[in-house]
Amino acid sequence: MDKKEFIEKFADLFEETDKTEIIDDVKFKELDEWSSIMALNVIAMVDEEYDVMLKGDDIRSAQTLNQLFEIVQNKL
Amino acid sequence: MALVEVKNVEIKGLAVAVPKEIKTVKSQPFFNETEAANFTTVTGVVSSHVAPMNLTLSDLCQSAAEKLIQSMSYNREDIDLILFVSTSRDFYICPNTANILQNKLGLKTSCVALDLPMACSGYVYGLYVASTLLQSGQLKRALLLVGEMPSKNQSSTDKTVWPLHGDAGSATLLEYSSTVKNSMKFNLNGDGSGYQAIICRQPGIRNYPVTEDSLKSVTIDNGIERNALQCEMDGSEVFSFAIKQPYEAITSLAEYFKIDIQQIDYLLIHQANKMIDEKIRKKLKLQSEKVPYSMEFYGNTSSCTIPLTMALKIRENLSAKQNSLIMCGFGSGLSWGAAHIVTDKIVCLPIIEI
Repeated sequence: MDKKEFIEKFADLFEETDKTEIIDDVKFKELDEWSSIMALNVIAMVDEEYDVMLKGDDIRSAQTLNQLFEIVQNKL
Repeated sequence: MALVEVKNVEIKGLAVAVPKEIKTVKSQPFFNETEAANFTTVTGVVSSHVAPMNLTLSDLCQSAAEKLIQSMSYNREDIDLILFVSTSRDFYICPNTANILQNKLGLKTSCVALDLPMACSGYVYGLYVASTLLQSGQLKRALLLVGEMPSKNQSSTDKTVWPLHGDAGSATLLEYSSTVKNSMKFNLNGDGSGYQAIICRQPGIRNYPVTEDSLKSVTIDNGIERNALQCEMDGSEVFSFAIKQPYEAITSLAEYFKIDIQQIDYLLIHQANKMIDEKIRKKLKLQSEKVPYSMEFYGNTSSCTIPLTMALKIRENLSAKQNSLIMCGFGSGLSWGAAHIVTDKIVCLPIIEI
């Protein structure tokens, strides 16, 4: 799985955030646009694009986008 | 996976009751305008019905049952089973609310009365239990009362649950007959490893006793305040469960019983939220016309969403002709189930407002 592509797909979920802010070491839950609804969008995107089911705990434990990427990769 | 077929039992009638009062998503103080709009986009909920202090779920079910019995000219003496499926019971921990309703509805004392305290999967489980108890023909008629009153056990200052849910109660009449053509088919599942996903931590025996601290409202996060008696939901945990397990329950039901999903008339899916339901619908490749929704103006009414959607959206068709239905309920437990039910010209009343 390609990290650049994952980050792009993640960034596509955001409407107001500047895409240049969404990089691999961003603490994504600190972004202004992050919300519990956005967490659902991320779970849905990862299910659709990678056929991987993220759990609530996965979202909670990941701080940076890098860490989220690794969690998804480990579930492939 | 429990795949079960029940013969000789059919649904004869259905009624749903909601309280008159309405709460809207956009009037909630924890949302600004954008947040309210986003919430509605994802969940599909604009508003829902909320009960006043003195109205209980058993009152809603009682009204639905009274109207249904009356409109079907049933003799109350003929009802052999009353099953109350809800976590909004009159009393925790006893007596059973079914006993109270047996008396209030004037049913005979030889009527078997039981509570089944299940939440969002409750309508499917309720149909399974009631039909199973009828199928030998020793009990002939069952009154299945299903619904929830989340406004009584949720915090109005918890944005993760309060704007999503609504109050509603239903009554379904089931009857045994050796001439029923179509069996009811069920696929029932549960996974207690997810028991904390939707939970009321008190009252109950595990976190006994209820103290003054239990009633103290605690700030969990921005827009999330509740006390220990109020229901909590782990939204992302429920979401990842809900976009996977219900779909698989439906497809394995269809596969096992050789049902062509494309040939059914309607998929009646628990109105968890629109994003979840749309994902399930699209995975099943069903057209929108076959998957009616009721969450827009009623919210997620837990176990009542399936009968409520029937009464709101497909009432005329249910009364006029035969319908092949797949129902799917999922939620607290975790518990989920799917059913294939064929109805034939059932009585379905317009939604009653109290």
